[in-house]
Amino acid sequence: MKSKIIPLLLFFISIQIYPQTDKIILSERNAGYNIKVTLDTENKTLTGNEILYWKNITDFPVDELQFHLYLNAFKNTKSTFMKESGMRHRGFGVDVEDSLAWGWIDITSMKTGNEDLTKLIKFIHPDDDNIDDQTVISVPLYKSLEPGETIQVDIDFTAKLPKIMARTGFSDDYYLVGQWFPKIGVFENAGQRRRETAGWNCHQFHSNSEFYADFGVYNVDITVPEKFIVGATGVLQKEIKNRDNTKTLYYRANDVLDFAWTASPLFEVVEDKWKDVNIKVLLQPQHLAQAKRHTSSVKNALEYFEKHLGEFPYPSMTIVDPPFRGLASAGMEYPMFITAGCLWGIPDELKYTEMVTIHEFGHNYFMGILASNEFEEAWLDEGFNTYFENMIMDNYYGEKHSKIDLFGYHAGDEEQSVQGFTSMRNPFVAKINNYSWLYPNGGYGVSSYNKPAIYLSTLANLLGEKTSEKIMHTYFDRWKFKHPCGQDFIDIVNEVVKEDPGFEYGSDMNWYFNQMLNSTNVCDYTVSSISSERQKEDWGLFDKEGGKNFVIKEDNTTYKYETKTIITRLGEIKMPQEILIHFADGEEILEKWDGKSRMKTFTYLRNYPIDRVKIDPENKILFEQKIYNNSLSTKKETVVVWKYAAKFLFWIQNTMLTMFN
Amino acid sequence: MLISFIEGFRISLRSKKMITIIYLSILIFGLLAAIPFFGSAKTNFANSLLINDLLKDFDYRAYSDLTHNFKEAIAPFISIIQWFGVGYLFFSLFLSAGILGTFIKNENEYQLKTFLRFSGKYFGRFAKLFLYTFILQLISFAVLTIPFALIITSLVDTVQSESTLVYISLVYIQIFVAVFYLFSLLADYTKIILVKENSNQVLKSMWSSVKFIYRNLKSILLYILTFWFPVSIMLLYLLIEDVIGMTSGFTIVLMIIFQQVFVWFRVLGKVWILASEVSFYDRKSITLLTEKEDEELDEFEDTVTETV
Ligand SMILES: [Zn+2]
Repeated sequence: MKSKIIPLLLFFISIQIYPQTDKIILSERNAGYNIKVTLDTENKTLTGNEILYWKNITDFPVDELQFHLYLNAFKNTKSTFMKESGMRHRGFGVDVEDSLAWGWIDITSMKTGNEDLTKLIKFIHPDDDNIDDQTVISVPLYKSLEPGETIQVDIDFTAKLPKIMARTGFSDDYYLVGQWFPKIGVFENAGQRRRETAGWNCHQFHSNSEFYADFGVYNVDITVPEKFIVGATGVLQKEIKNRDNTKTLYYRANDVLDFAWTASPLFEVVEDKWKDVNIKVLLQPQHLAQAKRHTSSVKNALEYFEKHLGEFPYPSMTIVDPPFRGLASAGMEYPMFITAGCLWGIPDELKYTEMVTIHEFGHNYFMGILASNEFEEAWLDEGFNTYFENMIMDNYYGEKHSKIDLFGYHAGDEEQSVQGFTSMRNPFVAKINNYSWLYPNGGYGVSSYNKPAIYLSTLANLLGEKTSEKIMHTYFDRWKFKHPCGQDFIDIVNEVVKEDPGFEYGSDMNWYFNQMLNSTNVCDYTVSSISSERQKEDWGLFDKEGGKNFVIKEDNTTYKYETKTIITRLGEIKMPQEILIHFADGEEILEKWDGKSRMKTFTYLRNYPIDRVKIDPENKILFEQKIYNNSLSTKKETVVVWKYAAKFLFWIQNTMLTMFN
Repeated sequence: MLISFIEGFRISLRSKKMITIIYLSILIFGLLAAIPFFGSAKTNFANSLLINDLLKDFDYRAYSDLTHNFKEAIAPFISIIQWFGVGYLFFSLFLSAGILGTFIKNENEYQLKTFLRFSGKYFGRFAKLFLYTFILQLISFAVLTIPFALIITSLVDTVQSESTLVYISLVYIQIFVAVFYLFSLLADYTKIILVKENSNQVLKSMWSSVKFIYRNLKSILLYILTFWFPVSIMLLYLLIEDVIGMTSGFTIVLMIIFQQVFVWFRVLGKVWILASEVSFYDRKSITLLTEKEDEELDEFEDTVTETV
């Protein structure tokens, strides 16, 4: 269904149902915003007024406020973002010669009650000593704010949107407005996320990092030219036409930690529904044929997350499909609002659009609800979310086929996550536990997405479905609408495994997380050898009748062979291993080994020798660096060699024929 | 045109022996690369059970593990394909000289000895012709690429959607293919003229060929359809591979036989096209060059030959 009267329809629906959901308060709601903003499409600017209600929910008085002014990251080459990124983000560069390409935000006035704070604002740089970075400000308060007190701050701001960069800005008539208003940092209590003393957590805008914020209620009034179609976090309450050919849309979002919106005159709107969740896709007209790819992906994700993590708590979900020239804003997450990405003519067998839609949707949980600190522990959002993305993709579109399935060539989403890590040129480049802007040698992507995802998947393989489901549900129930840290998750794992009578990996899983998070070690086990010798009873020279008699007498009474295999740990990661030992008569033994020593020999007395050995036969350990050396066969497995040699011959013959002149 | 195709097909069917010899040359070249490939794969992978994951079906994990960990072992074989392609290009000039010699001078009577004599006789001229055509192709591709690049770069900055870019690219790809085909037609008829007239003047024959093609443009453009012969035979192959699969010792042997039959048929295709071109030329050729052109081209040829 597509329609241009949808905003109006939504308006009627929203008055009827929305106030009720208001009664259920899901979060602390200590950072609420009432914002009125006008988009000037001529000058690409925003003019806004923001009233912030901020409550001190810690046990300590607060004598200054800290805010993010993210758009200043795009102000000039001196910002920390520009320095770190080399003015490129995800392959898209800044159009440096165009003055319109740069972005900024100014606070023109900041008051609390009768007190004017404007003159007290100063830029701070808590992460580096870049005095030119203007993405964080500090404002001292005349009187400190005691625990439990709420302050109201009245802010006027003007902002200029950049040409789309790092997923925010404009491209022609398309606007993706994210990180656009003065946003208060998180004042953390002592003990929260294991910190020793209370204090502000308000990081600068970095090239490799996302965000961290408190929950609240957002009432946002957006004024745009009349012809624009708008989508936003939250639910549209009403829409009013103004006299000057503009219109104002009133949005409200409860229990969210950010607010983003989009506007374009070209969007085609497609709506759908999953249970009580209204799904709205804002599509480029050319991509209308791919509407279902977006809606079904979101529905699959909603269903999977509800079953395996927790209920989706919001009433709506908006998916934005950016235009070709605005692709730098593709693949980004905000509460109840994501950007996906698709291209005209992409066949259904290539499921990038599904993957990105499911991934960004998943961030509603990992970061949106389980509000970890994306600056400091990127793996808690990107890693967990990639893990869920892999499972959803493989579950709905087929394991080993979910991402690509063309001309007999196919790959699953999880397989590609695994490959992204194991095929790294330098797998030692970085550990997972890193602040996301501190990857001096690179490796942020794999360390935050692939590596934690496959470690989580391996954890689930080791612990079994029941235990790992329980871990995820407990994590969600305990930490939803709060700020968990990595250790909080580990504590839950340790708590849950203790209740599992079949748990076989020691007293807890700390050994696993230490290796996973704090080292760059790799996992590589190999079958070093298989050898068999005939059992000998008497062999050699024996005294007989005054002479020496040479005897070869094989022992045929018990077993014919002493047969053994040696397993070697080549990497520094120590993992408990299962080893499948296969004998020539078809007998199989599954051995278990703690994997700690450098080598392990398994010896047997049998009538038939060992003919093949396979480490980790069920492929539980996904971060194993080299799987080709995980198995060994005493005979050459030549059938596949024939297959590929024949293919190679055929293709080289065809190349020659194509060159025939 | 159709008559020439049928006539060409008849001729090529009579030339089974020649086709088989050409096929064997391709097989021998192929084996020169495939046997070391087999040996290398056997020593590197064959003791791992992982490769068995690639038997029943493609397996991304096994495939990426092997290609990543044996990058160095695999790389030479990728470059072998490229070098053999280029090497065979020159060898094929030798073969087409033999084929055309047999068709034109030996009245389709194939004898290895005469085949080789024709090969030796015309190879030099054919090589020169290849060089000229290659240069002309490069120039025309460059000329075509410039407006294409300009259009694309200007559109990327203004166009709202990507489908326009895709359509423009498709149109250009078609133009490129058509131009490429025109040049190979030009080369084919030049070869025929060179053999027929036993001429040593490559450029002059090229010009005659241009005139011949221009005069018979409508029928000759039908030849572009022959592009579909190798394409459809490959599609048919992929279909058969999909149906049979290479999932067991038996189906692998079966597919190896199929593969080689396909290669034989592709050789037949090459010979067929050349034979029908000869037959078409026979039916349509009249004096191609005016006397004036003849003289001018002689002079031009001399200067070019000196510089080359
Ligand atoms: Zn993400």
